[in-house]
Amino acid sequence: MSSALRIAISEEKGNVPVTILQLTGDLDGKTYQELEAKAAEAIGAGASNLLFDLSGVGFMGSAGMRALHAVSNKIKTAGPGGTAGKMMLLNPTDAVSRVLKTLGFDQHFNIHSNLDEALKSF
Amino acid sequence: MSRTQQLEIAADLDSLKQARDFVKETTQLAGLDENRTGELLLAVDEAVTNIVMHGCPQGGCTIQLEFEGEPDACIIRIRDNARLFDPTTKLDPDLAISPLERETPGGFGVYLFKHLVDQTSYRTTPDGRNELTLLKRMAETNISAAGFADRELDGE
Repeated sequence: MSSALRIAISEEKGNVPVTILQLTGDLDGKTYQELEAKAAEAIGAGASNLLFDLSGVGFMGSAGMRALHAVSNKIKTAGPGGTAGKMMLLNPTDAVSRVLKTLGFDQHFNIHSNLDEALKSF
Repeated sequence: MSRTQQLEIAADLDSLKQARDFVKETTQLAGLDENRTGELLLAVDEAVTNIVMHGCPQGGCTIQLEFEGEPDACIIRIRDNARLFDPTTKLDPDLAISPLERETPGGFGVYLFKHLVDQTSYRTTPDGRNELTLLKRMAETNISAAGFADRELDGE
């Protein structure tokens, strides 16, 4: 009955290497730290371009927003020599968009609805 | 005639999905549309998460959810025996500041539930528990605030 979140990580080559974190399940107070940990692990391994595929997220609360915000803070210095990396969001579901819009984050994240376009924009 | 249903859960993060499922099932049966159901279940999730994380971090508390369906609204009452706290008095974060410029993530839970429902109220129950009441109308309405201002939200 408890919330569950699965995070699959893959690499894609656009103009630059992009690490895709594909989320499936619920991003809530129970699971948000798993997202923070996975993203930190990817950044620690050298990733500086992160794309979060949110098409499989059935529920997101403010805790999920908190995790994305924390990653956004980390990515600011994740590029080579401490330069800024980039993070973008792909295909947020209604449940995700509801939180983004209510809190105004939709104006501040790069949000895409097409994978190829997202990859090219890094 | 109103209909009520109740669910009792442990105040821990493993119970969040159970709380959301309860809201989804009861409100959809009552005829609340999908978008408004999504807003109400997000509001309830935020309120319950707040109780678990801030009201009872040591564990051992119990949360009671009560659904009441009325012809024009769905009402969820959340009662808990965690630390007494009235979340409706918490000031909103300043969203004029770009949210990504905030150094500390988080702090949006109470803002979310206050803004996703049509009415919130808080009281301490006679037996000393918190009771937060969230009201979501069945549809957008032009009825002035006065039409709902006098609604009695207190349960029990």
